Parts: sequence; C-alpha cells; structure tokens
Amino acid sequence: MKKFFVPILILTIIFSGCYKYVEIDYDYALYNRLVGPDGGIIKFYANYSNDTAMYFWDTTSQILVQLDVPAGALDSEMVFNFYQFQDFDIASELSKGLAEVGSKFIYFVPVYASDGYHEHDDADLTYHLSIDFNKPIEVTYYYKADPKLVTIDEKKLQFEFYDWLNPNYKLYKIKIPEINEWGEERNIFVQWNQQGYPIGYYNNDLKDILLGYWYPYNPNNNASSSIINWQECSDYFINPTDQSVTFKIENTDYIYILARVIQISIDKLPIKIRTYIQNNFSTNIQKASIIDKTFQVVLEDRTIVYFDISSNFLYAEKFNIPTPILPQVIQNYLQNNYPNEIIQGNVVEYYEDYSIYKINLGISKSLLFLEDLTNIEFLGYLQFDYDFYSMPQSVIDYMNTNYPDATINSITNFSASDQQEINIYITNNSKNIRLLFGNSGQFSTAIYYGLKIQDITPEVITFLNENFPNINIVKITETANIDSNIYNIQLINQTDIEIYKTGELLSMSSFMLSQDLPELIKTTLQNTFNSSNIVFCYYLFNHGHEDYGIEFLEGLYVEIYPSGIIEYAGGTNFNDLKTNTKTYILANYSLNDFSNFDYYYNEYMPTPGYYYYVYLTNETTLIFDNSGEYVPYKNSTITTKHTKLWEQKHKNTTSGQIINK
Amino acid sequence: MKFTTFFIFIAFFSLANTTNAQFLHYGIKSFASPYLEMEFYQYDNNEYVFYFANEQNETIRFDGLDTSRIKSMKPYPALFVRYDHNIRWFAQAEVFYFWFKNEASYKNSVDLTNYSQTFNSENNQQILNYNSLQLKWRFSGFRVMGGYKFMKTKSIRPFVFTGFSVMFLMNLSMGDTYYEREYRNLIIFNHLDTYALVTVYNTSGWGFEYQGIRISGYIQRSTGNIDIFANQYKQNNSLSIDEPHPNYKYLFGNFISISINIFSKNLTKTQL
Repeated sequence: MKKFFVPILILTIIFSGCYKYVEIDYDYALYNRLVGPDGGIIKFYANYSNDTAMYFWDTTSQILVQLDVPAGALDSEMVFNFYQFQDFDIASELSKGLAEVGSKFIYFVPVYASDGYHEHDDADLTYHLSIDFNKPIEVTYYYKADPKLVTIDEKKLQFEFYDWLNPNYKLYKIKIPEINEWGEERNIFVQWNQQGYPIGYYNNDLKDILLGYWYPYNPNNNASSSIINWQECSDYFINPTDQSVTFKIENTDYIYILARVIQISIDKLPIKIRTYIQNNFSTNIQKASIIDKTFQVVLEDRTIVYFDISSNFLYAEKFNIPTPILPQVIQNYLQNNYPNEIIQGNVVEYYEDYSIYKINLGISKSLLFLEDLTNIEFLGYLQFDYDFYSMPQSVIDYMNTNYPDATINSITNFSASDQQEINIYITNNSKNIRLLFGNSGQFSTAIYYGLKIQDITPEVITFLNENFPNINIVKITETANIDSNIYNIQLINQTDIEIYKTGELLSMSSFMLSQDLPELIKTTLQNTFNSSNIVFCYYLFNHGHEDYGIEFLEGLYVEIYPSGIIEYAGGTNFNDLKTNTKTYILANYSLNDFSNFDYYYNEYMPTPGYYYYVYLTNETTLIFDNSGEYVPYKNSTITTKHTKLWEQKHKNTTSGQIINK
Repeated sequence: MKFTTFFIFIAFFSLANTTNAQFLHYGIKSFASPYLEMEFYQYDNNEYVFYFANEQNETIRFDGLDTSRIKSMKPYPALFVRYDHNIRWFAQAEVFYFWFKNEASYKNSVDLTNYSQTFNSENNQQILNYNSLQLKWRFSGFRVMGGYKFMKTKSIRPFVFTGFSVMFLMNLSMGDTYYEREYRNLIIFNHLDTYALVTVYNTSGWGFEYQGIRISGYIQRSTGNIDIFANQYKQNNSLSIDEPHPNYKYLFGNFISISINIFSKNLTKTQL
C-alpha cells in the first residue's frame, strides 16, 4: 500500500477543492428595466459606452432616469424602454419665438414582457403602446447625467441651449396622439432597428408633434411651427443640486422636456415694435417672444427681428436663403472658390447700416460677407470644431499653461485676412468657460458660465443683499478681460444686472409691477394720455442713465425719465391724442385713416419741443405740437431713418427683393 | 460524489496489487479533442431575456444558445497506470487535465453598427461580446476503463476499451471581453456559471499498441445531469431571469491520444 502513497497524494492535491468559483459582485436587479405588479425601481444608466463605471464609481451619478413603480401600478410584467431625443434643428426652430429647450426630450416606449424578444421589420406598423397605470409612477430625470458630446449638433445643443437651463424653466409634456386621433396621416409609429427591436418613434413623427405641425390639422406644407401640443406639467420638482426633475406619470402618452416658453401674444408686443415692423417689413408678424431682455419677432416669411427691451431695433435674421438669390457678388465668389461645395442654410443678418451674409459650407464651416450701403466684401470664415493643434502656438501655450487639465469641448475659429478670433469652450474644475483669443492668438476674454453665489466677490453680494434681499439668483456669468471683471447676474424676478467685481453697478434692467412705479411718473402718464391699463413696465439703468418703460393694453408705449419727463411715446390708441388733435383729424380725414403716432422731443424743429407725429394709412404724416395744435411743417410723407436704410440696402443688392412699403 | 469516486479509484489500485496480474505500467499520455460539442437547453422568446437599463435599452436574449462546437488539436496531458492481465485483458486508470474555450451565443437588440462604433471604433479588432460570450473551461479528471487486446502474436495489436470518466470543473471564466462591457458581461456570465462541479461521462474507443506505445481514439459523452439546475428545466414559467435557468444539456467529444509506458513492473514476478 505504501507504494501507492505518492500517486494518491498527487491525485488528492489535484482533486481536492481546486475548483474556484468565480465570485461576481454583480447586481442585475440594479441594471434591469423589467417591473411587474409588485412594483419596483428601474434605473436607466448613461453607461452604454462603459458600464465598468457600475463597479467603481458612485452609480447614482450615472443614472439618467429612475422610475419608482408602486405596487399595483401595473397589471402585468412590463419592460420599459427609455429614450432621449434631441435635434438641433428642432431646438433652433423652437427658439424662434416659441421656447428655449433646457434638456433633451424624454419618453417611454413600454412593451409587455410576455412578448419577449420579438423581431420586427420596417413594415411592422406597431403603434405607440398607450398604458394607463393604476397608480402614478414617479419619474426622476437627471438631465445632466449624459454629458457625452460627440457630434457637432450635440455640442451646439449643449452650449447654445442646455447650459442655459435655469429655475425659470418648467416641465412641459407633449401629447402623443392615439391612433387616428389626429387623422390617419398623423400617427406616430414605433421605429425598429436592423435587429428588429424598438429604437423609439420615428424622428420625423416626433418633429411633427413637437413643433405642432400635426395639431391642429393643417394641410398646408408650410404650416408654421407652434407649441400648441405643449402643456405645462402641474406637479413637478426641479432639484438644481443634483440636476434632476421629479414628476409623476399616469400613462405613457406624453413626451417630456424642461424648457422655457418665450412666446408672448402679438398683442403684448410694444407698439413701437409693431410700428417698426409695419414700417420696415413687407410681411406680417407671425409670433413673438421675449427672452433675456430681447424681443424676438418672427415674421411670416421666417425673418426674425430682434429688439432690445426699449423696443429699439437690434438686427434681423433671415434664414435658408437659396443660393441663386444671394447677391451676385457672393454667388461669383462661391463659383470661383467653392464650385463643388454643397451650400445650404444660408443666413443673412440685417443691422442698422450693414448686413452680414453667412454662407454655410457643410456643417462646420461658414463664409461671412459684409454688405454695407455701397458694396459687399468677403469678411472671413467661421469654423466650428476647429482642431486644437491648428491654433496659433501662443494659444496652445496659453492653454497648456493655464488649463492643462481642462476638457476642451469645442473650438470655433473666425479667420479673416487681417483678423482672427478663436473661441474655446472648456470645462475646468467643473466650470464651463469660454476663452476668447484675438489676433495672433492674444488672449482677450474669459467668460465663466454657471457661477454660484460663493464664486462672486463680497462687494457684489452686499449689493445684492441691499437691493434684492431674498430674491433668488438664476444665473451668474463672469466676463473677465485685462481691463475689467464684470458679473452678469439674472434674478428670478427677471432683473438683469451688470456689475463690476468691485460692486459698482454698470447696468440693470428689471420688470416691475405697475403699482411700484413712482407717483410722479404715474401722475405724468395720467395727465398726458388717456390709456390707463398697464400691461408691463420695467426699470432700466445704464451707465448712470435711468428710465422707465411702460406698455399699455390700449396700445400705448412710453419711455419716461424718473424726473417725469417723457423720453418717447407711441401708440395706436387714437384716444391718447389731444382733443383738438382728434378734432382736426376727424374734420379733415376719418378715424379709419389713423394708423399710429409717435410723441417725443424734437430739437430739430423750428421751435424745439414735444410734438405728436401722427401717421395715416395713406402714408401721410401730420405733426401736432404739445398742446395738440396742427403744425403745418411738412405736410407730406415722411419716411423714417430705418425705412430709408432698408430701401437703400435692398435696392443696392441684386437679391431681387426690394421691400416696398 | 467526490469522495465516492476517490474511494473507487483507491479500491482499483488495491485490487491491482492483490490479484494475479502480470504487468503494471506507468506512463504518460497526450490527448486532443478534434471535436467537442456542448449542447444547451432551449427557451422560448420571452424566457431567458436580459433587459439592461442602459441608454440603448439593450436587450439580450439567449435563444437556447447555439450548440458550441470546438475543433482543436491542442494536446492535453495525462498520466496513467495500466494493469495487463493474461496478455489480452487490461484495465487502465488515468488522470488528466483538460481545458478549452467555446462561445455562448445570444441575440442583441442593439444594431451591430451602433455597437461596433461604440466599442470598436478603430474597426481593426474583433467585435467582442456583441452576440456571444467566450467561456474558458478547465477540467481535471480521471478515467477508468477496461479493454481487450487482439492479435497477441503480432507486434502491432489492436484493442478496444470502455469505461467511464469523472471530470472536475476546476474553473469556468469569461474569455476575451471588452473591459467597458464587463458589468453586463458578468451578469450574463453569472447565469452561465451553472456547470456541475463533478460530471460523469461514458467513454469507449479503440486503438493500436506497439510495444510500449499506444495510439487510440475514443468518444466521451456525459451521462446524467451536467447542469446544477437541470432538474428545474421547464418547471417554472416565470419571466424573471433570477429564476434558475439550466444551460448545459450534454457534453460530447471525440478524442485521440498517444501514450507511452515509462515504467513497467512485473507483478507476478514480484509476488513469486
């Protein structure tokens, strides 16, 4: 027996407990999206490209959406598919007078678990599955948990929209129609991928719903976009700390988004703006909005006109201008230099005395042309997603020295023959920063976005505490250059403040309640005009200059100094004219001939003073003095300065579009 | 089971030492498996489905897993002891070590182009784990068999044999995998880690012997259950993936081997 000891020992070593189980620290319950009548929690993670994060990091930072399904909410086992949808064109379209998106659109496409893994093909017209839950399901959407920026459109959406989300934004839901609810041509079907599995709804269907093309029914292909399908959710909570929004859903019939509706009724537009549009453009107003102290007016020909809070014209944009109707100079330039490029989506920006044409070559490069009153010249080109190492060495050195660990999100480069401007968007120490470099790569300005109260100087905090106690801050931006550091602070009461780091106020604009207007101003308004129903009013401080702006329901707009002196007034309310003025007009014309009027101090009149300029529909302008008496100064058509500029510019171009009032 | 087989093994050696045998040979053996087939259980469309809660709503379905077939001429080692009795009959016991890889396959809801762009953007590597998971197996085992040699006057003698093998699963782990998919793959793998620790196989074959060298071919097929959840197959209709799902139905293999006697002992002479 002794001779077998050695082989038996060897075998014993081999066989005795050599098996080693693979110990796996996994948790499928943490990672599945199946829930049944017993309820449960589903967490969708932003980790498809690297799920090892589930091991080592705080998984809560990876959650995109969490569903808390109470027991009894579902009758059977269900699989929840969660989708995020974003489209830069849709966001841009919405921003033109409708809404500013602050997040991606999210929605759910549930399937019954009993269906299992069922393959479909493109011909499968499976409709949106509408499920009414027995109890509401709580949804928490972490809108910043998916920071991957791959495409240019994703970067544009991030920097132009999502980064600006603030407490003014609200949660909206957009209805998904039941089958044939809006007609057979307006059904939203599930889209299948090559594997036969749902990947959400068809993007074009989503677009039609989100932009309101499908409801109400409009057979016109040029139906204007709207947010008619949008409803503000009634019960939700936005948590800025963990950047989430929590709400409850009772069914699967809605798409959700954080956004800020900027659209205002055309009737609420200041009369000064409406008058300007009427005098200078050939098409009517389609919709209007106000955002960040700027009025946006969308015309029926898709032109967007911008005005400041004082209703002063800023500029106008016209989109998708076909190449054949561009000025001939530009067409020649393109034919000579880019004969084979696909050119589309051209934009022209009209300013007071010049215009800029932006010609898009592909998705990441634009050519800029400047048109003034006499000629058109090539300005340079603007390139998005510029290569880091193509920048001047001084910029590269600056970045390596000052921001060696920063994440570079995007670089844009404007280059002209004698000028270069580089914008670098970075994230450094959790702060989003835009760096501007001028000619020769010289550092110019840094703009810090999303600052917190603890980031600003004590002097500015003192200013805020003294002037706006207990008013929440929405957004703080710091603009820093060699000469100055200026904070731009937006408060939740729609007050915008520009203030030096030292606490010295630079400018401020603030919407206010009519009862808060100084008594002197109220009295002046009552004594001067008959309009009395104030729609809105604001206070403006700019480099020591102060005034108030007041818009009346009756169609009167007034700018007035704190001293009670009227700076400007204008309107469409005939009753705001002096009695003798009204008598003169009615005696010589008719009420239907009256269009609108301006009222301001004119130092260039033979007798400087306040005058009423009354515009008639036959383009005649009548002038009355401050007492309402007719002044036979120039009883003829008077065209405004803007009108002249517009006409002159368009007559000088070969666009073929001459605006003729 | 483990100790029972040990006991049989030890009893065999005791028997060999006390009967009227002629020779006891110790030697080494090398074998290869030109064909190895692992059959999996089948499931319906709504069973054995993983619904991963990631951005792609990734859904993995084991459609019963394809039958895995491995063809390899990789040599594996073995040691044997053979008892020759009356020139014709022999009994042999051997211990061996055996390892291989195979692919457990499934269906993935994500488009391959989407998957490859995410995990294989350079397009110069193998697409891993899209619809399969590589499994790495390591077994040790012993085999007991008895046989009969023909043509006792010839120098080259054909023989046949039959017996059984017992294999111990030493290790089952994932093979090549994307690091980025490790969490998901481990969840999948954990549900595949159901192979029984000890499994028994029928073995039979034939070969030729020339002096101390033997070349043989044999087949080996599992007998009894090889999956720890085999008895629960089709016994639950639950959609929950957390319920036990047996995977492995049987293991079948063709083998070839060559063995050499290293040391021989005439037992009869010793006893005399």
